[in-house]
Amino acid sequence: MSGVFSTYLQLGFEHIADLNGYDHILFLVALCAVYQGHDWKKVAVLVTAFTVGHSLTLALAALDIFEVSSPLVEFLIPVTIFATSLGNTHPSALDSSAAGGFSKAMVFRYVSALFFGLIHGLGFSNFFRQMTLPGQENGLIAQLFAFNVGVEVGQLLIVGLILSLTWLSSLRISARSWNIFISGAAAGISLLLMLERFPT
Amino acid sequence: MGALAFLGPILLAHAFHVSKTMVEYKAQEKTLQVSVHLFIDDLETSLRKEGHTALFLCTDREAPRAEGLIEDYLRRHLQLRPNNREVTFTFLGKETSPDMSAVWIYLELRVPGKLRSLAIRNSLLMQAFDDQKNLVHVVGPGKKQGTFLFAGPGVEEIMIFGK
Repeated sequence: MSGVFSTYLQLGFEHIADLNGYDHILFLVALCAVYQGHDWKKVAVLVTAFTVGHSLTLALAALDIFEVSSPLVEFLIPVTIFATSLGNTHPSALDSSAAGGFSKAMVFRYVSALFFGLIHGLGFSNFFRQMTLPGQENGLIAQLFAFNVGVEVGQLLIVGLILSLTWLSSLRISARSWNIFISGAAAGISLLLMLERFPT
Repeated sequence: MGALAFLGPILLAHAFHVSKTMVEYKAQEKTLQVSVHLFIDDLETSLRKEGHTALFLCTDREAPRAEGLIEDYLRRHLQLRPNNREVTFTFLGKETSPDMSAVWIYLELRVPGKLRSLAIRNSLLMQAFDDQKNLVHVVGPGKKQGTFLFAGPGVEEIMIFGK
């Protein structure tokens, strides 16, 4: 593997799909918990909102337009997971999933996915910035692009896997039980991550 | 808190383990200029695993033997073979990064004749961390560039520059 594109694509993919650094995966799990297998179109819109958010801050931070302290970002990432999980238990979460469209509750979910994406993008940038090389600043855009494509491919794969599991679960349990079970688990794990990463 | 301590290793979710190395060919001097970027805590962990404690790397209290240990560690875990020949590098020095989290280590290799190929092995820090990834960027003759990602020990990459 010797091309800049393939190397940074691999880095982006492995960064999001990394089981050691599973916080981004956990966020996607929480984001998808209110949906059922056949809701994939709604999930696509929601994940796109998240992507717009994290691509924006990844680019801005990678190009040194601004910088946010990485311990704070690492702490805020589990906060976004906890907030999403908690939001999943609101009565409108299940109803809007059934009704779909652009109800007020749905729009709120899109906006929060976009906003939380901004935070995750800063997390990606903390990693990406460690992988850039001095004297290669003119190649930064190409590296950033490849890295982001890698993140998107990984994300698509993870969401596909989550929806497949959701579909499997629907054979045995109700969507409501699934949502509460998954959201509760995600909230618990994110709470532990928050405690561990509490900025000191 | 006992339960949390037990979960610690599982929940240590985002400490990523990466290093990066720049290898630049200087045609006039017939040398390869190498800069290696390592996180200080990761390097310290690796050396501790080999039995070297209390090194206080890159601090005022750094042990006098530290640089020799780093040099020896790099000889074992970063191998660069220009034109498929064993060449020993010169350790030029090291410098702490502006945010104090990492160290830049500078090495120099004499290239026997014109640089035609470069074989690279990089297993830095992989003994200490399963998820260690090492990026190597090469700028060869005629500014020909290559980027390599090492994710496991024992991997060799070869870059060919032509005649």
